[in-house]
Amino acid sequence: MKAKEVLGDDPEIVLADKRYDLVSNILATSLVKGAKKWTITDMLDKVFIHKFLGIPVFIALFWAMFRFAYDASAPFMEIIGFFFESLAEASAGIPNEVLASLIGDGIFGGLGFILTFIPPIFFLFFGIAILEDSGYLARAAFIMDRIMFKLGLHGRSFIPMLLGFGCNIPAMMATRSIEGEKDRLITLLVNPFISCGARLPVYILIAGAFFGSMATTAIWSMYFLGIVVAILLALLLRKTLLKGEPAPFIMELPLYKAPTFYGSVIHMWERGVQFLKKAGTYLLAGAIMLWFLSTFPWGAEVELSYTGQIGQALAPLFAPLGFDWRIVASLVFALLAKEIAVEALGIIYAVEGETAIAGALVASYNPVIGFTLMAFTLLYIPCVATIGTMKKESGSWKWTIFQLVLTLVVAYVVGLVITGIGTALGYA
Amino acid sequence: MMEIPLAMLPVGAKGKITRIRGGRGLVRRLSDMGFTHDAEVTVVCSHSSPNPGHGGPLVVEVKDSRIAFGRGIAVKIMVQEVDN
Amino acid sequence: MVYTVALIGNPNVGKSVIFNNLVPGARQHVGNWPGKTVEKKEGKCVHKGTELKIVDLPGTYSLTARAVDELVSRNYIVEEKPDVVVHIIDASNIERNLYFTFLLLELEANVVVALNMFDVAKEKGYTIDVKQLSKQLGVPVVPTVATANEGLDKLKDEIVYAAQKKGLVKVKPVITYGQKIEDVIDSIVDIIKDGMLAQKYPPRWLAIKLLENDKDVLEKIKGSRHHRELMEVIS
Repeated sequence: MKAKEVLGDDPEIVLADKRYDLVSNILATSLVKGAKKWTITDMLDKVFIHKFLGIPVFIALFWAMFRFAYDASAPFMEIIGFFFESLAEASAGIPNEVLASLIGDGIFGGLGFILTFIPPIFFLFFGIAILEDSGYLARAAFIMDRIMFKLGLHGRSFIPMLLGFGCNIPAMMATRSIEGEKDRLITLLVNPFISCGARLPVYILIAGAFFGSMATTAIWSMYFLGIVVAILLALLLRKTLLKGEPAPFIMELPLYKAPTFYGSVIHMWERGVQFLKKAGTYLLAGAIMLWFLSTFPWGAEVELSYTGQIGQALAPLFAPLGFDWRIVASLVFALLAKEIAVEALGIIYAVEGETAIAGALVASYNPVIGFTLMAFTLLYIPCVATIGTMKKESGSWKWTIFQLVLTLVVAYVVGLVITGIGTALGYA
Repeated sequence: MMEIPLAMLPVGAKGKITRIRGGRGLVRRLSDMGFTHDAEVTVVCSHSSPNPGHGGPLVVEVKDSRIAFGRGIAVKIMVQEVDN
Repeated sequence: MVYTVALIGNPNVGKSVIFNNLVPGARQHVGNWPGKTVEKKEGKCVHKGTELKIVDLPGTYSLTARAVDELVSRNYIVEEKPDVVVHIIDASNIERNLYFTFLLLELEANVVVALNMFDVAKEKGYTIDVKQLSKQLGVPVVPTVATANEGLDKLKDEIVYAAQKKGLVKVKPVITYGQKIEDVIDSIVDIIKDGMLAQKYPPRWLAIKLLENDKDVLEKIKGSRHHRELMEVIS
């Protein structure tokens, strides 16, 4: 006897229906539903997913979340910074000069500075976890889907993009919940354009040095720029290399429930740990490598150290952007972890402390170059840890290398545009 | 009683699923989420617009849970409207 | 003697709360399923002297061959044959969740049901006769409120008990599909019952998947000497 005769063209559906029939039968004897009650979920959803009211709620909640992340983390950043500075000073007492330098400047100095940016990342993840556990995040993805669909993206891409503001690594890992292969790939490719927590120290330094009272605006503009570039590139990819319809968007909206502190901490920890493990190793290796390449040949002037040599070799390529060998050298180091750019600049200018570095920058460059550098840092090749994650999540060297080239090209082009406009406006 | 696409049901209306027009993958996926034959669906929220195609996503209640999906799918789920 | 216990369920049912309750954070080990980007979380736990290895399977809505995470869960259950599979159900959403329980029973997993979010179900006005449900499903059902730590000790008791009982009682199929379909299933089971396939996979499950044209199972039968015969029946 043939299966088709008995089950027809859609055997899966026939069998599925029968299973559901059985479920109904069982529930008929074991479940009694009371009168339908008007729940909190019903009430909240009346507003939260409302066509118009939903949007200001969305903006307000996310604004609050970002503010919380950065405000709450500020005291912790101070503590970590202080802790490592003290350690760095203490290690000056180590008898062996090279060792003292390695431990004091290389490890404690470099690493300490980088680690101060862990609190904002963790607090951001905590904020996201609260929104997620409460059930609101699903509504946010729903609201975003309408817009994202027009951009060739999937409503599900919203959450990985959001996580990118903390760190691109857990963000890229979160794309696993996206169903369509192409949708997932596009989200992976443009994710690095979202400004992660590591780039913030670089913005703070440069904006603080050049833009005075406008510094905050300059920094916000980087976040905005990242989002715009990610959107434009997603659209472009969707229209060219990764053509096709986005996969169907189906998502369950769970009941709203009060998030528990413990539960949210676990979620925060899961994502934060992904950042720590992946990025942490590179950060440490990066700090040591930076120290090594700039301190050797021992006793030489910075220009003649390995760092200087690398910078000077590549500098001509970046002349149109106004970048000299010093900036190029620090950008090379920032490949290890973008925060390192600040530290690198300090070593290259042979000064210590942010104010001093800022002073050196202002003395050597004009505001246009400063702004270009911020944009370049935002957009160019992602840090090594992110590249590694891209390879893992996409499973393909081809797309990973494509992303490297894409980010570099986009950064360069945008850099040129900024330089052009800035010079034309007379700020050079 | 006529069958109409779920996308055309107004907010608050109930419908009974008659069939789902779509590829096997979609039908099975929807079925896993609770959209089976004769299942009752209530429209909770609709961002539909007069434009055909993806006007806006919908939220419906089916088998005790709330599911959101794009209009592209909503036009493929055929229902018979049920009086409240 | 260490028992392996798999946790499975739909997304949003509180699976990770239960996992974190069974295996405290420090003892959790996160990795990847070999060759896949799906995350694998596991850890050890000791309950009243019995050691349990808990594996947290991805939260999915079904167990088809269409998504990597579903396939990973399914293959784990069917090939690694864990001692117990705990199906975590959202009691306030019980209809859809029970469908999944049947998928697990078809896999011939040793199921214990954790009827979680029991408080939410009550708020919704549901009254669930747990004993009756358990009797109809043929498996233990434990009501829990994981966020309040309720019912979890009883759950652990049932897990250990089920693990000890595994294989001692032959489970008879809970779902029957009607005479005609059952006949086709029987004819397939007849073909494979003495071969390699029947040793590796539950024959009835294999038959049902073949009828569904399951991509992964179709691959699995390719090497079998019954291949052509099977293809005849299902096409």
